[in-house]
Amino acid sequence: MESSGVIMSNNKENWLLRLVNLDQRYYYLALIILLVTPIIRPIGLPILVTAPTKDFYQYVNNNIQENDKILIWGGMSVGFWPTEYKPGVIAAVQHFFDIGAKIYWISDATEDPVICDQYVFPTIRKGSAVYGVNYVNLGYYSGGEMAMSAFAKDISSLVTQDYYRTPVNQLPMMREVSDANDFDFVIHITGSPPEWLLRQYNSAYGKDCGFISISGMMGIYLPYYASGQLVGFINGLRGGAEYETLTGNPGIGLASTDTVSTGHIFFSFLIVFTNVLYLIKRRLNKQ
Amino acid sequence: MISQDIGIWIQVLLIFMYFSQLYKDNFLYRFSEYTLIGIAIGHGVVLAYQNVVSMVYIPITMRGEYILFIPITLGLLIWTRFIPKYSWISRIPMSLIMGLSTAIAVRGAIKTQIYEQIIATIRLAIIETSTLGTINNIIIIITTMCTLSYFLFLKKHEGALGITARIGRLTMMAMYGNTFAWFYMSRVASLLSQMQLILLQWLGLG
Amino acid sequence: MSNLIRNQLPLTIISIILIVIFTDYFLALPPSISNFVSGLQQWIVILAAFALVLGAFNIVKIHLPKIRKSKEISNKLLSAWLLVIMTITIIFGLTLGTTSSPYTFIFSNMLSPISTSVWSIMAFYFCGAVIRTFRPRNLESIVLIISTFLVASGNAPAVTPYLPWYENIKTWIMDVPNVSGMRGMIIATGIGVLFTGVKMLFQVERRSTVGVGE
Repeated sequence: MESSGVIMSNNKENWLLRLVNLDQRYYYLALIILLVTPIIRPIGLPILVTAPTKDFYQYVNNNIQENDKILIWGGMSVGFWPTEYKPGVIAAVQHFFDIGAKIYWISDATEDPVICDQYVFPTIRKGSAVYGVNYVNLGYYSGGEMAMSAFAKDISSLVTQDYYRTPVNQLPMMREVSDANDFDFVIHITGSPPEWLLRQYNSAYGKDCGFISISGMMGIYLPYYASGQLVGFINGLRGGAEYETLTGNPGIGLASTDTVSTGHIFFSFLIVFTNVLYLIKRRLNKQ
Repeated sequence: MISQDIGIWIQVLLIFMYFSQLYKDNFLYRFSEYTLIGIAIGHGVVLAYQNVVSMVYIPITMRGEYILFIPITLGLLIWTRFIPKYSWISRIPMSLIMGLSTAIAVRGAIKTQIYEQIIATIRLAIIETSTLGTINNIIIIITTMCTLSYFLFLKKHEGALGITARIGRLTMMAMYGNTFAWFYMSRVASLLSQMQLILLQWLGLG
Repeated sequence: MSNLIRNQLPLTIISIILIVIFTDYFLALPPSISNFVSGLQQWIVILAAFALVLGAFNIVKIHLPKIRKSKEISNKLLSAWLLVIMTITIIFGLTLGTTSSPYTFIFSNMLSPISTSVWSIMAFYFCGAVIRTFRPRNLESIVLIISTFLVASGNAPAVTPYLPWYENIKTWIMDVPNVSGMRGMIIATGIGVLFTGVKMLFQVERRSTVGVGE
């Protein structure tokens, strides 16, 4: 009995050791399986709307009217477009067009004007919106914050043609703006910290600012949101799904919440599981 | 049904090539990585050219703003960086860029990052809210000051400063944990888009 | 004279620009000076466009010798491919335009999937980081682990509609320690930016220009 107890204990230890030293590529495989399953068999989980998204939506609803001018600084990277930017950007831009606001889109990232041209405006229902009258894509301007500052001070010094090489004096809506004071709302779509836009538009011109960003920037934007410098922000896939819920336009955001759930539950499980294994390993080492 | 679109096939092929690095570093992964770098750099050059045409060529040819030959000259001088004998010349246009970027950052930082944030913290001490809200506000004020004390490097972190710096460090650890979790969500969302492309658009499942 | 032009002139230029921009921002100046500042900003955006091309020059400078000198055939092929695809992108972009079909084909079917893969592969690396490094060794690491766990599990849309109190815990972490920690860092960074500007104004900060071209 004693010898079988020792054999059983050795077998159990071997099993535990194998588990503790498991190749992490098995965890990668588990993550892939958990992400794949809800894509093939969606569950349709509900989603709670968080305060920053709700405030962004309510600000637009209560303050933006027909013919108001919205300046959008696009800083998107194409790598984040499909699920991080797309839900929020499409839902928000659709909302602006439904209200009848005018959109001035200018880019501070090289990939952004192509994303705007190929993915954003072709996707949304523009209704009676006409290019050059209701919305315009002004293209990319290098320098990041320097371009923002130059544009805010004097638009004509920077912009002579749009992304499609049409001279701006042929675009009716460009005659209505000369500097930052002419805009009613300024948005930055970016994965970077919010200081650029806030320094050049909120601080310098007192403009109301909002952000559409990737999920990772949530914690970084919160202090500015808490201090009132941001009216609200839509962050990543989850924020996009929330905005789709609020506007009643379900899209890729809401369709992806199941997979996000399984990914996060797996991650949380991994934190607990690996720490339990770590404690087991320590105990085995002591023995 | 599997996709017939050549574009989708190219996308999926490149995705599998890139993901092959999870198993082992290999030629296919490096091929996809170099493809990304080449296209991204090329795209940047194209956009830079469009920028210069828009901001220089059109004003000179249409509006006669010949003074813009000065920034063109200065811009070309930036490229002397690659000629060892004359690379010091590139400091002059770079100093213009450095000066302006610093100036616009500093003038905005005073209000945006310092004044507004301090006012927001002080305001928490006077706004009326529930008991739990008041407790939270007090915690925010104390932990903000403790975090700031962590960045005081004029004195060694011992005694009272050591305690506040430790609280500041713990607060930042909680912040990093929060940020880490949100960055993970960002990456899972990107991975999700790849899975959707492969399963729904390429293989036609779901 | 050489030292004056090489080292002192860039620092002086930075100081002058700082003074001009600050006075334009904080004081009500005549329109002529304000217009000068606008023009200056326009010029520097143009310079930034020229600086954007530096990356391409650097790539050619690194990879062209590799094609000639590298002993491994795979390195030669990869460097050659990089230069080829970069050239094709530039030629299509400059001749046909960025709205043309060939260019958007390259952008959508080659740049986009790999770019997304770069970010998505990090999901695995995040899991790897958790497996290898998330250990409760001291109080700081325990706080980090607990914070990550609570926020990550709270981010799952499957959890919070059914456990609202869990959402409150997650929201508390975001609204209290996260805001205060981040706010402290924002203020500290702002003060750092301010002092860097002051140092550059008085030409104490020399690292920005000295060394470039040395």
